[in-house]
Amino acid sequence: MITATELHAQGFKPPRTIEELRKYLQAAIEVEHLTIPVYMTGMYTIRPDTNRLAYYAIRSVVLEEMLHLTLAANLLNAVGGKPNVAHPEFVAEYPAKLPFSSDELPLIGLRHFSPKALDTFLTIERPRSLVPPEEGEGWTSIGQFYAAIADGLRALVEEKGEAAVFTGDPARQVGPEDFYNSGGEAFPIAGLKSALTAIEVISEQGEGADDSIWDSDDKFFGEERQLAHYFRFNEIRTGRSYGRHDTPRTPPSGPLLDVTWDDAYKIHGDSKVADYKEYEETSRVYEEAVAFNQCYATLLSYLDSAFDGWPRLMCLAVPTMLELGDRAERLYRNPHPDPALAKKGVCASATFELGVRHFDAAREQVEQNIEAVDRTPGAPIDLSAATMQKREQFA
Amino acid sequence: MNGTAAAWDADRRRYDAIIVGAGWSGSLIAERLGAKGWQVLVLEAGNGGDETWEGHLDAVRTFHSAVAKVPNSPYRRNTAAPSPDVLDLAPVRDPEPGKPEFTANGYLVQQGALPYGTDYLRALGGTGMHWLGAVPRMHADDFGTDTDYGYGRDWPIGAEDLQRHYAEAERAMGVAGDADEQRKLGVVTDPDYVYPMHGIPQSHIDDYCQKRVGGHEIHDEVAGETYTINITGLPQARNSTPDPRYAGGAGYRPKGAVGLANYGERCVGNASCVPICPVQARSTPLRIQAGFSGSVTVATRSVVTRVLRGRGAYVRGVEYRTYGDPATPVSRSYTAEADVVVLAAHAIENARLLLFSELANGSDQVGRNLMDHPTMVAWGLTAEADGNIGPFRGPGHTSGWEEFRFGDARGTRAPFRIEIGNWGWGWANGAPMSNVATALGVGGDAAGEVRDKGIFGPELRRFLGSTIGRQLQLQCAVEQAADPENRVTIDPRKHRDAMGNPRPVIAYDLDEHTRKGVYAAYLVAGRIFAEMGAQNRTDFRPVGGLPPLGHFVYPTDDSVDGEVHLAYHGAGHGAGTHVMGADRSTSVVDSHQRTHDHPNLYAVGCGSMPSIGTSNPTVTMAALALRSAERIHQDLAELHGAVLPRPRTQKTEVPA
Amino acid sequence: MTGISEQEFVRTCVRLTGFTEYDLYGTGMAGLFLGTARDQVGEDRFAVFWAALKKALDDPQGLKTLTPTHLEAARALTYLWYTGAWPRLAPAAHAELRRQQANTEFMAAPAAYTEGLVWRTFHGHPAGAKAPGFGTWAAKPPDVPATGEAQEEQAEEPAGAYRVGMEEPVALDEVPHDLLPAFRASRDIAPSEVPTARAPEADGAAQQQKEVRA
Repeated sequence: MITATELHAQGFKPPRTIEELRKYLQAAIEVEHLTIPVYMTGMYTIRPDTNRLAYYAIRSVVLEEMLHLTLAANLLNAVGGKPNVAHPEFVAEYPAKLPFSSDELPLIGLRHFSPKALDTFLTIERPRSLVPPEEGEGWTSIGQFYAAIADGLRALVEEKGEAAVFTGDPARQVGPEDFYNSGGEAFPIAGLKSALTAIEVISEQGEGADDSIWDSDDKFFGEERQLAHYFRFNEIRTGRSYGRHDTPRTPPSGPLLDVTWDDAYKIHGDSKVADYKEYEETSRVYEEAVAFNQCYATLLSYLDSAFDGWPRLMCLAVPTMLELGDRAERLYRNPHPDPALAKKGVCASATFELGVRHFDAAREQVEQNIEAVDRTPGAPIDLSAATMQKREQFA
Repeated sequence: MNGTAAAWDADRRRYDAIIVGAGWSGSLIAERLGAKGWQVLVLEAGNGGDETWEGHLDAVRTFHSAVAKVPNSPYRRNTAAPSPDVLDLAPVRDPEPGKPEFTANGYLVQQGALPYGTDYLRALGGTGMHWLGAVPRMHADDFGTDTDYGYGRDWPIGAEDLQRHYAEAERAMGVAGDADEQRKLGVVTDPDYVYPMHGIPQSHIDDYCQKRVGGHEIHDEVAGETYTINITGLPQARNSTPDPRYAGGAGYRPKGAVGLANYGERCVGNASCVPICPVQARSTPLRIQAGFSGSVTVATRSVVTRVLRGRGAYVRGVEYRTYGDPATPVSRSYTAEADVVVLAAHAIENARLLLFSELANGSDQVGRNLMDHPTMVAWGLTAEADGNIGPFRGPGHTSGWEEFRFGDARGTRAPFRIEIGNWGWGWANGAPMSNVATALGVGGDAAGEVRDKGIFGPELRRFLGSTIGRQLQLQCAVEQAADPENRVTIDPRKHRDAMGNPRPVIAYDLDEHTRKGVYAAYLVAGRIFAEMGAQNRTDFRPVGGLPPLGHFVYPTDDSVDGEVHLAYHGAGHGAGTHVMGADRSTSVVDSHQRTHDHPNLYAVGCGSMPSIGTSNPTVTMAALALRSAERIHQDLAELHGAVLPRPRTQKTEVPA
Repeated sequence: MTGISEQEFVRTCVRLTGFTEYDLYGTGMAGLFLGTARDQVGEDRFAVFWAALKKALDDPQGLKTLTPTHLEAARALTYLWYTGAWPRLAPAAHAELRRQQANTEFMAAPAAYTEGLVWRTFHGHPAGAKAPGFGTWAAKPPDVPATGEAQEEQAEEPAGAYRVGMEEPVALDEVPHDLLPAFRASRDIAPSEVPTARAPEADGAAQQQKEVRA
């Protein structure tokens, strides 16, 4: 989050130089990523076989955030930058401040599935049209941030010409051959038109198209339009679905949704691995929370390689992502190792803390597996020489 | 797609074509005719619902809840349009010699010596909703076994006539495969062809088998021949990495789930292709239906009861009944008319309809020549020193040994294809759940008493890890030749379903040539296990007096008892029943699947196949359907003079 | 709930299943399984069974000391953790428990199936859930714990506490037929109703196999 935080502090302005643009796009990757642990926590704390509609709604948003992250990386690669997602400063410490938004907003924390968690989700996705006009020069919303990038991009192309802006190697673009099963189409960005489309997809899947509750998947992907993220979350929060003719400013008027807030594992979202270490002797939660962070570092390392010239390496990132989900669920279902908290019904949680040591520890396996697969574009994917992690321990 | 129509909207209307059944064949033909602008009505007897994501998730949950995870387990029972289920069959304890060793208590009335162990599904998408997705093409040798090897029936066309249609089917279904390998086998003949997607990665089990016995010689005692075995990858209708070389460099974009955008674009290894792929990476006919033009109307819960005769040899349409509640077969009757009627309702259903309509049976072959791939499942434990081989991962099977399909041995015994199973002993024993039960000792002994032996705790966990992790199952699918005595008949006075339609009455047996193939496969599988240092655990002897379904005793010269116990499973490959041929006195349809007796009545599907060959039949069925679609388009064009209807692009909304 | 806390339930089940407390909580099924077992055994009888089970686990002779009916209940509970399904009980145990329910196997809940522990014994995943990703089936799976490793970890336990009817630990290279399932005679036979495999005969495939190996 280091880049985003820095830009946020500088106050509202569109990027003026290519260097600045690249910085903004690295910040965009960071912002897209910031939301993923927050939503994952909300989703995986839902008890099995309950709150199905809510689960799938949050899941659909997580998948779209993965798409946004990838599109932002494509944008940065397209303008000759180099995404950097595998370093400790890339990840925010939760609760985190939402960059490019009003300083008045509450911090973004990791919360279990609950009205409060949904309020956090709504804060993140709040459309520009619902943001009260603010005094001064500050940032007001992520939508505004993307609009600034689009403005800056247009101005730079006008000033220098398209070819001088889009200097990235097309082979670095992640396309549908490598990014799939996930909330829309990852498409290569080769110029202003596709760049603006990517920005539009990111903003409109989040806050809705043209001041409506709907996204623009019908326009871009030939798919049925869906509710934009903010409104998908608002349905869960209010327990009622939107009707066909509802607007951003009206509450949902459709049928009731089955949401049972009690069917969630309650957590202390600001728990840290250090809190668990105290109970290392009596609970495996510490070890597993560390293993989770390790797995997370592994995932980011694969993504980093995929965004750094080898899109085919997404083939290693996807299985790691699925493993991470399994690990997360198991953590939330375990009681907090502190007996006093456990007694109150508090569960363990994934902390999403990443330090240099996590990346260092992941490096050997990551490098080994990257060597073990054929990353030639267009070639078949063959993981037969990759090493699978052993996930369980014996009782 | 238009969504599904209320059936009464179609009442008394006239269409260019009526298609009975919304499985693979019906959907492919409807899509092609719709794309040409013809008005098409598709009547599906079963329920819809899985074309929505909610409906699909419900099916996945139903599957998770089922104790017996059989092919039909994700789909709810439907009294109005019942489906045969493998759960309908039960073995008889201590059977009387010479009497059937099984009972059938479902939709199919079974009166044969042996059980017809194959199911199908009457629902939107048909049996294509729970198939594995194996799509190897048939080999040229499979089309002329009578002439070349002296058994079965010949086709009026050959593999070469189907190549173009195979390629078309592989695009429509979305096939992943290695064309070079298939060329080596001789089933793909175009030197430039590549499949839309790179082959599905072969499993670690495949790799293990190849390392252990690849290039080894395996003797087939029955045929008296020795084969050098090497694994071959399986072409699959399952989403994989697109091959950029496809279609002359145009590439291919995998088609994903129906009802949820940008999902199911790759197989993620759920290892449950049958009965249901949770992400829909395994292709289903719903994908084809999603591309229907506005001139195609689909009506579900519309059970065709009869094909109606028209003037002269022509048929004029169909009579069908609709129902509201699948649990209570209260129905109303309607008719619809068309220039062409296409039966695409499954081999057994097509035969049932033709028999009840008293049509197309000048040859007396309707319902006869019922076939399947009787499948002998062998199971073994690989060597303990080799550790975990990784069962229950990936698609059902990703490679096979093809060597036993070809050559002169076919004259001696039925040929077979050996599938290298990726799902442990699941099919044979109900693993891994049954492993847990028998290791614990739960469930009681033969007398109903609590068993005195079993393990718990760390010992149980270690034991299961080892004995499940080393499970290898070989599924040997044996070609069954057409036999006119294996047949579907109807007896409307005695056997009707709840709606009043006649139930299929089945007579089924395996002839000597087929049994010999099963026996040869049994011996070959044993030799392969031995060669790889695995313990062969295959054993079909009755336990506690209960013979397994598909059990038969095969006489042998060499064993101590002079006989061996064998058993087969149904493969879900119902075929025959309206076989194609050039001679109208000995076959039901011509090579375009048009009935010899009625110029505007087609019967399509595996029912048209004169031989089932040694390949899973779906892709051949799809190729035949696409070939028929061309013919039907020509028929309609001729009928309407030179004036072809303009393709309609605008979709017409039909209220559901 | 009959005075048995979830924690007590899980801790005792660790010893029945051989999985850690973390693994058992990780299924999210502890509450459902305790409720299912109690309902199936009967509330009063379950309390008696539970006391007997805890006593047996503390006895050097282990689970051998249980009555046949309690042994069957312990098996059923373990089966539930491993598969998500409550099994068919030995009819004798079913009768002695005077159960009101039909003695047939059933899945406790859809998610109970996907949380079954059996898949984790060989580093697998349940068929139809928790998919590991495209192409992962080509990779060599991690080895399951070797015999030595597992025994070392249970060194504190008295020898044979987890075995009934057997003196020696099971030899994994010569797996006894009566701990393995037989061919399932038909698909309507639930996994817990599949009988154990018959002893091999000396002829046929077995003999052929010996010849080839020699």
